[in-house]
This record gives sequence, C-alpha cells and structure tokens, in this order.
Amino acid sequence: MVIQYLAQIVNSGLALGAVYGLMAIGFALIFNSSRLINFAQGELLLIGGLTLHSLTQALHLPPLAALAAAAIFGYLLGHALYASTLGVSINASPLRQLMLTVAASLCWQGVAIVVWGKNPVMLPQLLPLPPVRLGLVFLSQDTLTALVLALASVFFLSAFLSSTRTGRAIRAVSMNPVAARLQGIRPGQCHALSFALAGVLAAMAAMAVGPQTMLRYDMGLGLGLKGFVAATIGGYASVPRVFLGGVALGLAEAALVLLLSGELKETVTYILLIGLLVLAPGKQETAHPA
Amino acid sequence: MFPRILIVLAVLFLCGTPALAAEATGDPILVGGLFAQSGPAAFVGTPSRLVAEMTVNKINAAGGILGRPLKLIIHDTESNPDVALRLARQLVEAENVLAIIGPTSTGEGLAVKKYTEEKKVPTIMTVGGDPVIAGGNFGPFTWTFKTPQRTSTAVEKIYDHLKAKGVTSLAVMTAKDAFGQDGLNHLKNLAGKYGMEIMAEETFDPKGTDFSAQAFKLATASPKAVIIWTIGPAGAIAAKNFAALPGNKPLVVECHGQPGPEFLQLAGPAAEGVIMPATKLMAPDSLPAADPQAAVVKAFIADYDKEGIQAKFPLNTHSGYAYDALILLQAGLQKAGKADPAALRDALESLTGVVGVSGVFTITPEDHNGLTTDSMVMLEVKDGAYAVAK
Amino acid sequence: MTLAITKGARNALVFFAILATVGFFLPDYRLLVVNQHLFLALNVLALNFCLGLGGQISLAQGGMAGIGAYASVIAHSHFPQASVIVVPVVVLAAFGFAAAVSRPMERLGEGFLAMATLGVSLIFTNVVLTMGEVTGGSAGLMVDSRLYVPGLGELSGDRTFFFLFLSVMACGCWMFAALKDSRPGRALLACKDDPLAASSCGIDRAALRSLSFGLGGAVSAMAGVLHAHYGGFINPEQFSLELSLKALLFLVIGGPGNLVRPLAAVMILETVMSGMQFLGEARTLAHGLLLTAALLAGYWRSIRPIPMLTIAARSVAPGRKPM
Repeated sequence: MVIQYLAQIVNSGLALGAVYGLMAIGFALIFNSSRLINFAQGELLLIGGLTLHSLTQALHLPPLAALAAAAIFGYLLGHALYASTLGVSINASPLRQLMLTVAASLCWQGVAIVVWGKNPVMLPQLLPLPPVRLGLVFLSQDTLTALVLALASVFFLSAFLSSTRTGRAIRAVSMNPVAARLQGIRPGQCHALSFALAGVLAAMAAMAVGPQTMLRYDMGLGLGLKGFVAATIGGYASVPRVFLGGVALGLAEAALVLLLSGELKETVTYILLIGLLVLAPGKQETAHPA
Repeated sequence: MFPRILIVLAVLFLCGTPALAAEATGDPILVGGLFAQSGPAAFVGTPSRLVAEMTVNKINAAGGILGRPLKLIIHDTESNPDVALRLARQLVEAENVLAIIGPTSTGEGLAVKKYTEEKKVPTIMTVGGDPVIAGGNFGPFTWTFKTPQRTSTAVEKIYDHLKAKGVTSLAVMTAKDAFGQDGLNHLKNLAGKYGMEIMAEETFDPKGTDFSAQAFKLATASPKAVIIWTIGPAGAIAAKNFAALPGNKPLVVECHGQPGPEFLQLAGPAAEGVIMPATKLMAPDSLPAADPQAAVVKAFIADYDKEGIQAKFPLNTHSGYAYDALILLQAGLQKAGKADPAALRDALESLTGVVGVSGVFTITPEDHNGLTTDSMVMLEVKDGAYAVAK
Repeated sequence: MTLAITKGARNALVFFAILATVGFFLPDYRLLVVNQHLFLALNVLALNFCLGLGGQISLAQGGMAGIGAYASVIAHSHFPQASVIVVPVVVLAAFGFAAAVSRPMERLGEGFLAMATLGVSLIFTNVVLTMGEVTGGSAGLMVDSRLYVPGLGELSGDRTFFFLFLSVMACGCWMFAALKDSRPGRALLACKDDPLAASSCGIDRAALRSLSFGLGGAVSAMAGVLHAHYGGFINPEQFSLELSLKALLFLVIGGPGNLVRPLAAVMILETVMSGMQFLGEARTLAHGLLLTAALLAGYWRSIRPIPMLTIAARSVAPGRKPM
C-alpha cells in the first residue's frame, strides 16, 4: 500500500512538476535578467497553447513540425510581451514594470476570450510517446511526454546559456548589467531574448499540459503563480535547480494531497514556502542571483 | 344587447386571438433580468438570457400576461456579486420592476437576496446552489424562489439510483467552491437515510489542472462508486483522472451540473460509463408520452433550435432554467390576477403542478423550488452519447 | 501652525470636497457603486503605508481586509451591539497581526517579499475555506448584525456608509500625512531609498517597517469591517488575490508615496471600468488596455522633464531604482 502510494505520488507529481518547472525557468530567466516578476508568464503558456490548437485544427502537423511551430510562436510571443512591457518602460520604476506585466496578463486574457472564447480547449497529444512502467512506477503517456519535453528544454537551455556567446551575454547581464554593458553587450537585447526564451519554454509547457488538462482563458494566473512558487523554491540561480524546484513543488503537492487532504494542500504549501523564504539564508535584499 | 357584446368582446380579448394580442394593451409589466453574460458563469448566463428573451417574445405573442405585455429589462452581472447587487438595486430603485429573474451564480444570488428580501421584491433565481432558499444562517427566503433542482434533489436521485443498483459504499470528491460545498453537505446529510457509507472524501480546486492524487487517494479506500461534485471543466478532468487509474476503478458519478455536450467533448473516452442526474432536456426521446413534461420539453427544444440558440450554445442541462422562471412568473401573475409584488409572491408560493422544462413545480412556503426527484433522469454515457441509465 | 496650505493638503481637500458633493447628490443605488470603489480606495491607501512610506511591496491587503471583515462579523454575531468595543479590537488585532507577520519578512528582497505576502493572502483564503463551520466556507456568510453606535443607533443606508467610508479615508490620509512628516516617517522614507544606509545610520528598520505594515493592515481591516456590514454578505472571493493586485495596480498608477493621486486614480478608473459593461466579453481586454495606458501615461509624464542625456545613460534596467 505504501509503495503504491509512493508510485502514485511520483506519477502525478512528475507530470505537474515538469510543467511547473518549465514555467519556473521562464520566470527565473526574466527575473534574473531584468529583476522583473512576470505576472503574464501563465498567459504566455495560454496564448501559445491556444494558437497551437488552432494550428493543429487547420493543418495536420507531424510531431516535429508541431514542436518547431510551438517554439517559433513562443519566441515571437515572448518578444511581443517584452515590447509591450519592459521594452516601453525601461527607465520606469520596477514596480511600474511589474504592474505592466499584470496589465499585460489582463490584455492577453482578454485576447484569449475574444479570439478563442471561454470554453476550454483540449490540445491533442502532439508527441505520442508510449507509456512506460519502471517497476512499480507507472508513467502514463502524458507524464512521459511532459517529462521528455521538460528535460530536453532544460538541457538545451543550459547548453545555450553556458556555451554560446549570446547565452553567456544573458548571464553576464544577469550578474551585472553595467559591467556587461561596458563589455559591449546590449542589455536591452538580452532582456528581450530572455523574454523570448521564456515564451519558448511556456509554449513547451503548453504542449505538455494541454493534453493532460485543458486550456482555458482563466488558467494563466494559477499556473503563473505555481511557476513563481517553484522558482522561489529553486532559488532563481541555476536552470537545473529551478527546474528541480518545479518538480519538488509538483511532488510536494501530490504528497500533501495523499498524506493530508486536498483541503489543506494550499495552506500547507504556502506556510512551508513562507517558512522557507524567511529561514533560508542568502535571501537578503542584496541576494542577486548568480 | 349592449352588455352581451361587451362580454363577447371581453371573452375574445381574454382568449387572446393573435390579432388582438399583438396590440396588447396597457402598460407593460416590467420584470428585471439579471444574467451573467460575461465572466466565469457566462456559459450558463448567456444562453439563459437568450432563452429568457425567446420566452418573453412567446408570452407576448400569445397575448402577454393579464392582457399586458411583459417587458424584460436585462442586465449583465459579469458573474460578480458586487455588480449583481448594483444592478438589482438599479432595477428596483430606478427602473421600478415588479419582479426579478436571475441572477446566475450562487454567490450573486446570495448578494442580491439580502436586498430583495428587505425590499420585498419577488425574485425567481436561476442559481444552482441551495443556500438562497435554505433559510437558517442564510436568512429568510420569503421573497426568493429558484428554478433549478435543489442540490438535495440531485443527491436523492443519485442515491436512489445507486441503491437500486446495490451500490452502498461511496467516496465523494467535491469542488472547493460554494457549489461543491453545498454538494458535500447534502451528500453527507442524506447518506444515512439511504444507507450509504461514505468511505472517503476529498476536495479540489475547480480551477485546478490535475486531480490524479485525489483520485488515487479515494480509489485506495475501494468504494464502489465515487461522486464528483462540480460545475465546469474540472468535472471532465476528474473523470479523466479516474479513468487513468490502474486496476479496479469505482463507478464515476458526476453531479447535475455536468450534463451537456462539453463534458463529452472534454472527457473523451474517459466519459464512457459515467452516470449523472440531469433534467429531462437531456433525454427528450426517452420520455413516455404520459410524462406531463414531454410536450413542453419537446416544444422547448424545437424553439431553442429555431431561434438559433442551439447553434451557438448547444443544449445542456441548464438551458431551461430561465424559461421555467418566466413560466412560474406567468403562472403566478395569472393566479394573483394583478401585477402587485405581494400578491405575486403569495400566488407563487401556492402554485401547484406548473409544468416547466426542468420539472413540474409545486411550490409551498417551506419549499421555494418545488421540484422532486421525478423531475430528473439518470443518464449514462454510452458510445460517446447520453442515454438513460438502466 | 501656519496658514499657508501646502499643495498636497490642498489637493486632498479638493478631492474630499468633490467626493462629498458627489455623495450628497447621487441617488442611493448609484452611491452603492461609489461605496464599492471607496472600499478599494481604502485598500490602496492602506498599501500606501507599506509601499509609499516603507518601500515594501505587499500583496496581503486582500487578506487583511478579509480578516477584518470576518473577525468583525463573527464577533458581532456573539456580541451584537458591541460595535464600539468590537471594531477597535478587530482593527488593533489586525495591526498587531500585520506587524508581527511583517517582522520576519522585513529583510526579504522585493520579489521574495511579494511572494511571501501573496502567500499570506492565499493562506487566509484557504483557512476560511477550511473552517467552514465558523466562516461559512466558500458559500460565505450573511451578515445580520449592523454596526451600533450608542446614541446614534444602528448604522445603515448608503449615504451613512458613504460618509463612514469617507471619514475613515480622511483619517487614514491624515495619519499618512502626519506620519510622513514625522521622525519615524522620515526614517521610513530613508529605509525605502536605501535600506543599508538607513540601518547603518542606526535606524531600527524591522521595527519601523512593521509599524508601517501594521498601519496598512489596520486600515485594510477597517475597510473590511465597513464593507462587510455595508454589503450584508461576505465570501472569500471578495477578499481574494484580485483585490490585493488591484490595490497594488492603482497605487502604482497613482504613484506610491503620493497621497491623493492613487485614490483619485481608483475612483476615476474604476468608474470608467464599471461603465464598460456594454462591451460584454471584450471587457477584460478593454480593462487591460486601459490599465496599460494609465501605467504608461504615468511613466511618460514622469520621464518628460529628464534631459535626453540622462535617459541615454540609463538605458539599462538596473537592479534597484527609486520608486
């Protein structure tokens, strides 16, 4: 019985955790490069997923084409978000920039309502992978797809950030924008690129979450918040750690439901989170992510 | 001779030949209509509004009520209790309506109710939750009526069905909102009466995206059936999560908020075998000719189609609530014989056997809904369509 | 005491004069809308204590208003007519709670503080849902009790509550202005400009900021009390994250630290937004665009006087900027 419990925690936790992880990385990328909490992160996922849905209805997309389409569209969406928030208010106070993302999230939600309506939309499984049974752990098709998408994204993103010139430029801007500028890096471009990458990650997350659940105009804030929580758990600093933060959140949620109840899940999650924030060292106001 | 002519004229008038009725006479009877045409409850509110307009046109074409045309002043409550209260006050204080139809969601209903009770405005709500007419903590409900079946009626229908099938061990999974909470209370309160044993209970966030942990936890208590209580897509997600469980699965029972094409579409193959109580709108062809509702339901569906509402909002279990509200209003006004709030209220409270789409209403001072389990049918999803459960 | 009235004080007087005039002449049912907006405006004012003075972002305002509302309603159901005692106790308790909660969070950086206070709000909502027997859960609570003032009797009616909201707001504004000009107020502003420098000057940052947080909590709780007894029905949704976000949004539009401008922003923009009903489902988009426009308008106005040279030198988004 206990083992069965554990196996179930792993399956349902991983599926959600992978999605939270992707959201969290996008969150952390933007936060690191521009100190901005992006409240429109969930809407990136929403619009990306809905567009992909329309595409799949119009065309018959083979898996790779769908993947490419999602990535390209997510990239464009990220740029659009940058252009409508940070890009137009680069000298504004961080709070005004933050609130611009809140307003942007409202705008995009509005677009989703006007264009796609309010009925939930089911995204077809675009990357059909067979379900896997590893001993007791049963990974369903959706879980496996989510995991594969997420791990591949983490891998490529880490490689990009650590071994390409542009990727290193993004990291340099995160550490010290002024010094980076002195080295000839354009911080504005790096900010935009981090938004675009967040958009790509959100599109991947949409592909992962779309077939499991569904896409609906009001899902953005909830998923965005989970990404925020996950990024906080992961500590914003490194891509794999932030991703693990997401997985940890997914597992913790599933475990809390099984051990306590769905009723107490949220309360306990947030109490733990506040405890973590207050007690963890190195989260002083000077804590700049590396 | 002269008086006889008058009488003939009067009789003609009352019978309402179309020619005469079209010129319907006198000041219109003003009624407020509050519908959530935007916001989360719009999927029920917008079609309700269209149905209400359709019904009003029909009533007016047939000569209006008491020889006066009915005029519905419609506002959009945005699914927001604050806005609903604002609009209710506007209707009463500025637009001088006689009665109010709506609002749509339970939260809106509770926000409006306090005011309409104080101002003594007869209000026929189309809200799903019972609290508006539950009394007790939720205050008196002298002036408040509602047309959708009570939660307790749906629970009784489910328990009746399960008992007949010999299922007595249950798990319940309810949404963390007013509707789900209402369901949980009644499921627990009525379980004893029907000899049901609730082995486990869980709650979930109706806006959540995955409930497999809850589903698994409930399944480990090995109940024969699990009852899911929520409105909206979360019900389909939960059905999918149960279908994905390995091994023996409990029978999945959804609540009366789910029946409609959307559930089938979202749950896909996972919907197969799921049972749920519904209004007879969802099974028009299975109604025996002797059923008093058969004619009304079929006529309603034909009109719904003809007006083009079906194309935009495919018929679901909620479609008839606004129609029923207006039919009750009409019956009440005819019984009262005058357009006066107090008389209307008294008449509404003593209506018997008014045949509507959702059932045959027999209202008493204790029961401001007036529907029984006979007004519902149990549906089962078979081959991707609804059929009456055996 | 000089007779010369400062510009800020004059603006405040004009604002309240206009509001009071509006309150006298509007019909009752229209006043309801104004009162609903005043509730939000009070929360904006409350947030201004945390953010405008202490420089600390808070997304807990919704939760604090909810605590005030629920505490007062539950207390009144046990001690009806004891408003004179209950209300101050509730407001003081909210002050203490907010101050206590903020103390360990004081050292958190902006983003983390936002997360932690948001957590406080979400925990409040979930606790209300869990304690269904006391709080009515998500179905909410009908409020039967009225605020009772000896000598005046029970308080009810739109106009009464309009002036109650208005006087609470006036008190809050006076407190804000007085605090801003006092020694602790200046110390708070110093914390906002540069926390490290402030604490190295011997300012007890944690204590001061918990004062500003506490005052914010108290004003929000007072707003919640009024809202509950006025509307007659409370449920957790009224005090959800949406309220906190809206309060922050309007404060930023008006400029944190400004006294009247954010309040005027609430009253004007909310009125415009509730007038957009005819847009139906397109309303969300319209609201988003309007708020974006308001945010950008404030920003462009603020950068206009800056010479081009300084703009060019600041084309980087550095970690920390003055508000």
